[in-house]
Amino acid sequence: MKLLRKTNRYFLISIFGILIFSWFLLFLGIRYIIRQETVEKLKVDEYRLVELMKKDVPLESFRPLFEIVLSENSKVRPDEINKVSLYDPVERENEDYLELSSVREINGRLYALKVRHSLIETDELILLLTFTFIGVMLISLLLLFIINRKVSRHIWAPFYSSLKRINTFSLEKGTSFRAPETDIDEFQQMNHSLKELTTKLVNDYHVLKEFTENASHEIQTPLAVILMKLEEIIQSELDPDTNKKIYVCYQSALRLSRLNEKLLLLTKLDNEQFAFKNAIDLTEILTVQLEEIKPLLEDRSIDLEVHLTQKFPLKIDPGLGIILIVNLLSNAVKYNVDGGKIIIELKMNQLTISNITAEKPEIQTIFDRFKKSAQHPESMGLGLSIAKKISEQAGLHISAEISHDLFSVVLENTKQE
Amino acid sequence: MKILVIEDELELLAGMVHFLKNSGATAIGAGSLFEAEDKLIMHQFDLVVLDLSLPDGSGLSFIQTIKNLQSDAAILIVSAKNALDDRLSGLDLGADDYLTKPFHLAELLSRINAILRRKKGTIDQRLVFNELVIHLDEHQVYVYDQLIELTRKEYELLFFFITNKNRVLTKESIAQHLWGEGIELADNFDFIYTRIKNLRKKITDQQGKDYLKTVYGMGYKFTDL
Repeated sequence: MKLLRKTNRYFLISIFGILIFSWFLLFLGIRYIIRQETVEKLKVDEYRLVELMKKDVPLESFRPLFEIVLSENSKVRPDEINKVSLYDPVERENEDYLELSSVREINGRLYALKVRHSLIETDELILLLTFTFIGVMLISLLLLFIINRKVSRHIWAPFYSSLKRINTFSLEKGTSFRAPETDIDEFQQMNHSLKELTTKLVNDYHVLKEFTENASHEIQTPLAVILMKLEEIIQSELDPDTNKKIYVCYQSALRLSRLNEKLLLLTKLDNEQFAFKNAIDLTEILTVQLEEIKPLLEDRSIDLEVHLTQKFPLKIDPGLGIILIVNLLSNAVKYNVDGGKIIIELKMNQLTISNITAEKPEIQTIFDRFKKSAQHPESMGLGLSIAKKISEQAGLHISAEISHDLFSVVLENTKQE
Repeated sequence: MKILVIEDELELLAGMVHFLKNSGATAIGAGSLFEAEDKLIMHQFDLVVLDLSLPDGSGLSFIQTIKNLQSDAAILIVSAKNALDDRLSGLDLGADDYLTKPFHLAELLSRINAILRRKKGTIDQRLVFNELVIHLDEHQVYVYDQLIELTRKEYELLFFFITNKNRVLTKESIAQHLWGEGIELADNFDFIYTRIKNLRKKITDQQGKDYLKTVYGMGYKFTDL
């Protein structure tokens, strides 16, 4: 839910509550005042009535407005004010009256007096007041709502602007957050914090990136020394047993160095450190690399079927393009069978590299890091993850499938040039 | 062949200088750019092997200094940095080739020879090893003046061996030379074995001597000793 909507909702609910409450107060207040006024009026009426009677003006009851009853047996008692309901023959229904009943001694005789005043006017008045009140309130509520909305929009504008900038903030671009101008203290504070946070983030990111790279390079140097010394030892004639041990060390050091190189490449890909600007034709790389592996294929009598009728333009770093193709071709050879087949097909911006294989790889996890084939324990299991990472960054969709003994990797250009 | 090796890792520096001297070159080492500049002023070099990350500056910017002091000297960059970072910028600035650390010494020599040959131009170049004569321009090999037909990989292999004669070349270093760093194939070694078998046969078929010695389990050595 949007902030403005939420605040508006609370605003409306509370205003509504306040309205009901104030209407209730108003209702009680008006009723009380009217009642007081009515009682005053009844007293005045009764006083005039008594005055008239004292002057011996002949008076009869005038129902329902007043009743005069001679009642010698009554005693003088305090006045009573009651609300009564009487039948009105004209309206043919019961109507509410406020009644002042009293006992007075006039010219030596006791009279029971009842003076009444209709409450209909009062009810109508309250009804009218209520409607007016509700009408005025609704109009002011609507106005308030509109004004509040406009003002809020204006006030929150810098916040939304900051939000937008934070959304488009990118670590890779290395630009820190630029705060929009605002004169609201809270937003200034927020922008200040955001700026500090993003600056720190960018710095940390660079430090980490550099650290990984430097660490990787620093590891290569001692490895280079180890390998050089081992190669020197290999040159001297040692007994076969020692030779074998030295050779194992040599192989392991080489392996470590290759692993380090691949991890560095993966880190760089993760950090999106490569530029993917210039379009190159992937089929050109493919043709060159196929020429390279041809002798290998001949040795193992692997058939090569190539269907390249169009170009495969791709925005990619040329070095990465070569790594991508070499990784895929290497796999197609490595996991092939003697006398097998490699099929390379390009159609509709979809490049498929397939090979016959005797293995049953798990397609779901095949692009995961360090997924090794049981038949090839010497493999590091990074080739396909590197291929995937490169593909992703070049805007290619990479997928693998296996049907019977034919394993395929499909590169699909989703960004149509 | 005079070579200046600039490398701050002293063990590597000593190793390279020692190796290059053994291979018949005059090699001098420098552990810093300051020292290197000194040596460049004092001596004339055919080639400079340059490390990129040195304590007193970047090797990349030192390329210009080398060019200013000795415009004829070839430059081979040797760096722990991945080829993807620096290769292009290094070559743009005038380096002749690039080798990533760690490297095989045999590969170093092979690259140095290739650069120097390119520098010398295309005047009839041959490499002679007893009855074997390699015509570098045509990529042809003669045994007792008899041309033998070699595939491209066989030629590269023989050339690599002769460049690094009397040295045990591990299967790994041979594979790397033939394929570069990218391709790692399990059957690489079988492939090398087959090439070497073919190469041997093609040479001995012309009454050439078999100079290729198998060093059990590890690799091969090309030697007439």
